[in-house]
Amino acid sequence: MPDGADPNVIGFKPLVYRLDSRLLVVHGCPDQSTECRLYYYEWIHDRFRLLMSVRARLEPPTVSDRENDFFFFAFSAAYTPSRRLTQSPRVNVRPGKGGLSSDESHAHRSTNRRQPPQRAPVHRTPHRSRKSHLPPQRLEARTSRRSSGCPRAGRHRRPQHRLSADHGRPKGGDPNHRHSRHPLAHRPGTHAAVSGSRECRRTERR
Amino acid sequence: MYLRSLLLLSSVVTLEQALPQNSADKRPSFGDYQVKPTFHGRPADPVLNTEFSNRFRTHIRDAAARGPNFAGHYVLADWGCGSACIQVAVIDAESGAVYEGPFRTLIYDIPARYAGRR
Repeated sequence: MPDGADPNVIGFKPLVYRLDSRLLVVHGCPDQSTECRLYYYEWIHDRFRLLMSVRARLEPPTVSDRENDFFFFAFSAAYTPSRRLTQSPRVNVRPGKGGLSSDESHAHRSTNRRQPPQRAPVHRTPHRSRKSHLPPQRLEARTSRRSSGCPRAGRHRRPQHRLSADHGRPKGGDPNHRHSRHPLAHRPGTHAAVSGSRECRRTERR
Repeated sequence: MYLRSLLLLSSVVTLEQALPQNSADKRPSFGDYQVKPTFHGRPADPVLNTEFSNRFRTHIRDAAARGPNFAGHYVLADWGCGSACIQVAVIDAESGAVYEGPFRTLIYDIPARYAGRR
């Protein structure tokens, strides 16, 4: 059946017309009005003449459309879902395990999509005797490393870029002004223990 | 008294069931306004002599070139004017005359949201 063969079944198309007919069926709200209806126009020579307008709903209805309906709220207890609603492609309702049944879908007012099953969170708690997940040797090494101020040694050690004292300093002017010295520039005495320094090497050897 | 009220109730129910069927039957159908498609040939160029036709000349020209699709020898052109909004013009494929549609804009598909009832 071609599109628009039956004006009473218009689906989601706002305009339905045919080459061999002067009838135009319009579904919507013309000129930004709130009168959203199904309008029937007849084409006469050079203008349209409104034949009639009826209240119409888009087909097939969705769950949200049902919620907007006054009668759905008024008789929701006695309401039984129609077959068309469960077969609607816009409503993601899948009966069975893991999905919402057709009755449950009406209980979820604002959700058209099926929620994915949520997994229970895994709580990893350390043993009472431990304060951390790390084995005691690594825990002790980390504690000593933190207390000494040395960064982590070994192959994961980050390279420390030591900037010279003149880095970023403009030529001329006051050399001790805070703007004339780079904040990361190396100043003697400001870093007690940096990776690669003698202090840290001794600590790592121990 | 009981029988009379029962009879009245049953008649009301019967009337309610019959009303939608009657109103649906009164709806016009395409067969009631049938015309013969008489146009064969190259569609005429649209005459852009109004402000409306001049403003949407590109849509109108493109639709007119496709040939008639409405009421025998007319072209019903529609184009978008935003989200879920269309505008319509009718072009005579024989003379090229351009007519405005029954509305300036048509909002469709989301009437409840547009009216702010949600």
